[in-house]
Formats: sequence, C-alpha cells, structure tokens
Amino acid sequence: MALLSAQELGKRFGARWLFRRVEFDLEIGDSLLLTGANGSGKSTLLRVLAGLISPSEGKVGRPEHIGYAALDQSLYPALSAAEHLTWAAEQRGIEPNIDLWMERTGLTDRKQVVGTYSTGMRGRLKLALAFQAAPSLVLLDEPSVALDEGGIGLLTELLAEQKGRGAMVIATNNQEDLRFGTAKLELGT
Amino acid sequence: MAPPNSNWARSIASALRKEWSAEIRARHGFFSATLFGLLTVVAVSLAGYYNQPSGEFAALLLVLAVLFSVTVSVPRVFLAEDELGTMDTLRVIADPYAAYVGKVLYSLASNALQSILLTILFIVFAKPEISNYGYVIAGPISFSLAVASGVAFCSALVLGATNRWTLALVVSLPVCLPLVFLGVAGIAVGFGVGAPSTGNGMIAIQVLASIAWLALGTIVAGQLWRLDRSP
Repeated sequence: MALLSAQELGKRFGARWLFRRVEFDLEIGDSLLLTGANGSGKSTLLRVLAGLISPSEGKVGRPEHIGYAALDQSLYPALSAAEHLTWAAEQRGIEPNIDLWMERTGLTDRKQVVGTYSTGMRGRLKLALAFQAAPSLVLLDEPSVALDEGGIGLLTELLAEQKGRGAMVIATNNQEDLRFGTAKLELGT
Repeated sequence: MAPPNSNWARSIASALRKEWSAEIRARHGFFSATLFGLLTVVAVSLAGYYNQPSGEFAALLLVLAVLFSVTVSVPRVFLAEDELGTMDTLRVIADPYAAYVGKVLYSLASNALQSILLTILFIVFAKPEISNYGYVIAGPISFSLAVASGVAFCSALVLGATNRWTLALVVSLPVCLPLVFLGVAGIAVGFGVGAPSTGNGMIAIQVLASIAWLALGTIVAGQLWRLDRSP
C-alpha cells in the first residue's frame, strides 16, 4: 500500500483552479519534487497533502503522523529550540533526544529563544521538528532557502536517512535541490 | 493527531507548560489583561467614590471588571496562535484535544489569578461593605472560570475565520450574558444580599458550566483542529 496517495486532487480559489487532476502514489524510498513558477500552487498542494487545508476535489491518503516544514511556518518566539523539541516529543509520545538534535542542528545555546534566531537557524529547527519522530512521510516546502553550508549538510543527511525509512515530497525551485528527488511533478504546465 | 502510544495526561501537561512559558514570557497577554481589569476596577470604584456601593451594585461592578479582563485575555490565547502563524506547527505536531485542554487550563489558571487580584483591588478602592469574604473571593473565581471556558469555546470555534477578534467577542456574548446574572447573584451574597444557599447554588452552577464548556469545547476543537481526513 502506498505511503502517500493523491487521487484526482484539485484545489481552487473562487473560480480559479490552482491545480487539477493531480495523481501519484509514493512508496518507501520515493522522493517527489514539486516544481513550478511562483503562484503555480506548490505550497498549496503541499498543505493539501499535509492535511492543513482541504482539497476542492479528490482524495489524499497519508499516514497518521507526518513531518512537515515550510518556509512560511512560524515557531513560538518565546520558546527555545530545546523547549520546542521537548514539547513536540511529548505531544508525539517519543523520546525527545534533545542533546542529539541540538548537536545535529548546531543550535547549541539551550536558553536562546527562537524570537532571536536568524531565518537559517529557524530553518534548522523546523527540520529537526519535522524529522524528530522519524516519520514515514516528510513534506518540505523550500527546505534549503536561507540555509548555510552547515544547514544544507544537515538537510542532505536527514533526507538520506528518510530515503531508507519512508517517502518525501519537496516543493522547490532551487536547482540544487533537484538532486534530492526520484521523481518530479511540475505544476502550472 | 495523537500518537497511539501517547499518554494523554502527559500531552496535556506538555501543552499547558508550553502555553505557560510562551504566554508568561511574552508578558503582554497576561499583563495587558490584568492592567485592563485594574483600570476597570479603578474606574468603577470612582463611580462610587462619594457613596459606598450597595451590595448588588458592588457585585455588578466586580463582575464587570472580571468580565472585561477575561474577554480580553482568553481570545488572545487562542487567536494569537493563528496570528503568529504557529497554527500549522500546532496542528502537525500536537494532539488537538490536548492542545485545546492545555490552552483552556492555562486560561482558567491565569484568569482565576487575575480575578483574585482584581477582587483585592476592588475591595481596597471601592470599600464595599463585606458580610462574607468567602463569597467575595469564591464568587469572582467561579465567575471567571465559567466565562473563561465559555469564551475559550467561542474562540476555538472562530479560528480561521476573518475578523477573528470581533467574531470571538460577538459569539461570546450569548455565553457571557447568563453568566453575568449568575455571577452577580453569587458575589452579592458576600456583600450581604441574598441567602448563602443562593450563593452556593450560583457558584456551583458556574463551576458546572465551566466543566461543561470545557468538555464541549474539547470535542469541538479536537474535530475542527485535526488534520483534514479526505473522504
């Protein structure tokens, strides 16, 4: 059975269809890249796949627990990275492994709150939150934007681990990210 | 969604801890509501500056101060999540039921604290004649609990709607109005108006209403906040 299946998926705002008849199945090891011009619906399709918004037509089949990180996703400015990771682990019923994730992300100051983080540091924490529970499906929206060399290294590592564990969908227009995909779906064509 | 092996009590405790840390460190929510309530207390106390307020009038003034404080603070706890843009993070990570209960418990605790503070200030500024301190303390607390859980329910309902703040307050109106009457009747006993049995009854109804709103709100918010399940 597919880890993620999209059947006749469509989303419209008012009379305008952003995308229609999107269909695919993803199995373990699959990595689908969503590409397309600005406004083609990449982020919206990712949100539909994540269950954050409903499709206008069609169906999505996804696992109960997913990892999700998006460029426009916000974190709690008054909490530290360690507090984010602890909260997320307690909500998911898993071990937080704070030391491991702090070391992997390079966010070593346990007391520094996210409100004082740079965009790249927030990007690293979002990746940690998305991958912390080792989900079978990960959905990422422009994951490499604002990441420095170390951040790209972390992303590459996490995606390599994910390939052996489950599937992923990455919305991107960054040519560097194309190496992460095993298949490509271009929207707006 | 809640992981199958998760402990619900642990999830709620974690949600409550997150709310407490985020809100207390951000300060503006708790302190602006307290300041708003304080200004209300001072204003209503000035209204009775030359004449000591009657028992019923004093109870009404105190209820209004607590009501204003609660209606400012509770919607903020819910709608701030939406406005900060953290709603997606909350929905993909948290158990929606635990997240709601955590938010309500934080609201109940902070509003109970605020109601005690406002009651003390009201007694100091308005100098009403008190016949039973128990009802003067328990009345505002039970009123704040009932209003907070009712307003929390309404705030959770309108998440995602446009003009959320206004809508939350409008939807809260029919919830708050009957509670105002119960609150005044309960507190007035402390100011020498009505029998203790009336006060006990009013306080008990408000506590039960608080529990009912919490239970109903948990079910509704859990369904509304859960990730979409396509048919």
